[in-house]
Amino acid sequence: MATRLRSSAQTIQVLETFLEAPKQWQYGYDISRTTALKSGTLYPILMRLADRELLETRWEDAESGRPPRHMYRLTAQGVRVAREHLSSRGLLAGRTPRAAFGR
Amino acid sequence: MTARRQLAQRLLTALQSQASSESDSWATAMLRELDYVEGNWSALWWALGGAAALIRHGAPRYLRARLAQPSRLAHAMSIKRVGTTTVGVAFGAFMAAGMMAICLATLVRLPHMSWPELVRSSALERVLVIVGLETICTVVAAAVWRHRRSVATGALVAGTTLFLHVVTYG
Repeated sequence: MATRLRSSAQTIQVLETFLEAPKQWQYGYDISRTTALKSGTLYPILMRLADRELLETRWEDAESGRPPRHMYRLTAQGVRVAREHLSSRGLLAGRTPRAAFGR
Repeated sequence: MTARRQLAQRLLTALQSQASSESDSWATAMLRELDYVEGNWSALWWALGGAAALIRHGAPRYLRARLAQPSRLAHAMSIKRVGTTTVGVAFGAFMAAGMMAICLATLVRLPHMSWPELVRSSALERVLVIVGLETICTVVAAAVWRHRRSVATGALVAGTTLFLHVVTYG
């Protein structure tokens, strides 16, 4: 599976968001709010990452009768590729971690 | 629920119902997130953006799947099928031509010379001959309709020609 990433500013934003809390599962809408990306921009990026097995997805455990939400986080390979990708562009060093959000 | 949010929900629900198995979870994910989107206009934009993303995700897969399938034209033009169809059509045409020849011969009163006893026979006997031929045509057409449609069509054309001839000149 090819792991070359499209280095658009939006993809970098999404990767940065995931790298802030790599083990944390995150919701689509939360990522959208954090990155200020619209769903039409965010979801194709998530789909592409998932197709390349860089992103894992799962459904939230059903609780309080609400329908479960889809959650995302980078796979181990995804974390490695994202770090390489950002560091090759000089974006990783000096990045100040933001508070984790979602779950 | 406002009209805009309702529209957003309907749009994503419609896409979810039409989505392929690969896109289905993404469509469901967007639909579930809709409940958490603040503001009705934002919900509508969320749904519209999601719809565009789903179409972009699904369209190439749909096209690839369609292109991977052998086309109907290629199937119809396979050598074996062309051969079978040609033989069937030729047989059907032969039957139709034969029946047409009988009709024309009857028209120019050849039976008066060839089969004077048939011409002299009663109207009931002639009707029975016609009914017999029509029955044969129909039975042949019904028997081969499933596997040799062109032959069946030929038999039906022959039967119809005979029927029209009888109606016109009988």
